[in-house]
Amino acid sequence: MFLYLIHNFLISAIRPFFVKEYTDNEIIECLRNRQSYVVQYLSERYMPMIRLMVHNMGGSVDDAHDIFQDGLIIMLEKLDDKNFVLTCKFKTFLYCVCEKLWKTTLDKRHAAANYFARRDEPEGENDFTEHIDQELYMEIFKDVVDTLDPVSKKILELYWQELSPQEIADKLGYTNGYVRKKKCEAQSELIDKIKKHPDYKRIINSENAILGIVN
Amino acid sequence: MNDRNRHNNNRSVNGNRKKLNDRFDDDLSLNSEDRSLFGNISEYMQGRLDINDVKNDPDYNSIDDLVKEMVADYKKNVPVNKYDEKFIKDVLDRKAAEDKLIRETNKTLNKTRENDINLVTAEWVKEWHSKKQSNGGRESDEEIKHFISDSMKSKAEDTDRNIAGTTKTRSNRKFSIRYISLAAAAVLGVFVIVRSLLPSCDTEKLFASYYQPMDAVSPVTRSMNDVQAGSLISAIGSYKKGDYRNAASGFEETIKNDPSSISACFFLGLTQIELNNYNQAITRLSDVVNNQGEYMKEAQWYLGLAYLKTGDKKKASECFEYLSKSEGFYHDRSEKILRRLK
Repeated sequence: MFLYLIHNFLISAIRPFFVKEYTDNEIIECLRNRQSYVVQYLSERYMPMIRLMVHNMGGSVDDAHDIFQDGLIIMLEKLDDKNFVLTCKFKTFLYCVCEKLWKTTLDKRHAAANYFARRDEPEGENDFTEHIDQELYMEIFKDVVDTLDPVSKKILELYWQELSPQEIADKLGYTNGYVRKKKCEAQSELIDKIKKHPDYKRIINSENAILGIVN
Repeated sequence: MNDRNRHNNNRSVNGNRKKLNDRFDDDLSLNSEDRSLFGNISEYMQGRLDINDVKNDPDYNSIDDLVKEMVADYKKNVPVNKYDEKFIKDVLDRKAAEDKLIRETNKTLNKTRENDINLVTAEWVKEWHSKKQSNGGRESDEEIKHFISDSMKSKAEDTDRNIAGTTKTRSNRKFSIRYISLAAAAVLGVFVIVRSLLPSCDTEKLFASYYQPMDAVSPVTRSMNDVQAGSLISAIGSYKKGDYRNAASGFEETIKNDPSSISACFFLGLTQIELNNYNQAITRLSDVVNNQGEYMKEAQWYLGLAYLKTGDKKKASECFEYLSKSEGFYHDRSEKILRRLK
């Protein structure tokens, strides 16, 4: 346990000094040379988008992982072709590939479901409740973010788009210090409001009750 | 939804690394529960904003046909390339395992706080201390215990007095067993310590600690024509840059045009090591070694390392023995490896 903590602390302390944002050309070049760190970067940067897309279309976290993996393999094959020129943003391309892949996977699943009567699988039920919980969490997050004042909301949105304090300050015409202060306040306000949200309290209470029964 | 600590605030949009001081650093002020909650919000919002961004991208619809075709092709001939599949899968699985570890640690931390385990254990320690302080009562308890057990013992001795000799030997045997087991434990302990201090001869580890890509310099190209020399130099350039796929095809092309090019053969061997094709690397480097000319020692060294990676200790030892017998850059390190292989 102690080692885990040290490990995590080291990761969180060291990583900011090594992680950087890659341009599309850098991503393509690194992928062509099979540099593993760029795959790690892509997973960290774009997995949330793919996970949300798959979730919105009825998939699980594991589905998203598989789709992301297959999507990257498809892109790798395409990028190896030196004549291939990327005509749009890498992000758009990756999303489009993963979306198409997930849709074909879904079609296959539906087709299979039509042929075979669905068996009752306890695992599926668990996934279903998990799905509902996630849905609720997302609703809460969306609601609470919308209650923030426009400036705080904008700063947080730019922060989530990986902009630095200085870039946000330049974009919105504030000082660097103001952006940092405002982001910190907005973050605390967000956490506070979510914790006080009646639905959030309900989910946490029911989770604790289930844990209590299990233990 | 996954917990996600954000460590990537210093990323730049234009691809240049940002100044280290230009990043948000206030995540550390949050406790672990809040941090994981904010991580969840961030992950969701990031995904949402990215999807909005993609959906508003005018190119989103225009690449539709191309992507459809790509996905259809992929679905038709799965698996495409085992190497690529393994490459992506390994990285993503490692990342998923790392995320899981962070998630579980955070969960445990939250749980610890929720159940006030710290408070409970603090209470136990306090209780133990207070018991220790009130030693008087405990001592009287101990006295009673000793009195009863001693009297029981003496009673047993009384009844067994006529067979006292046997009892003595039995207790002696007990002692000797105890001493032997202690000695055995000590020997085992010393063995474990000595074993852990001695360098291991795990060939993979040896390879990892000694292997470094060659610091390539421009080769001698006197016997070549301009085109051949050009392709060799550009392939070495690719090797230096870490573009090993291009480098490999460049070297192969040079060898095709000039099968006697030892430089190309040597560098192709090195490139194959980088591409994890160790058997091909061994073939190429063996050719260079057998030629007994240019790059002979370097090829011996990398050939030895490639054998280490494939686990062939005997062949690896032969290479390092040759190098340890001749003077030069590889002499000392070869001797070190040989010592660990024996």
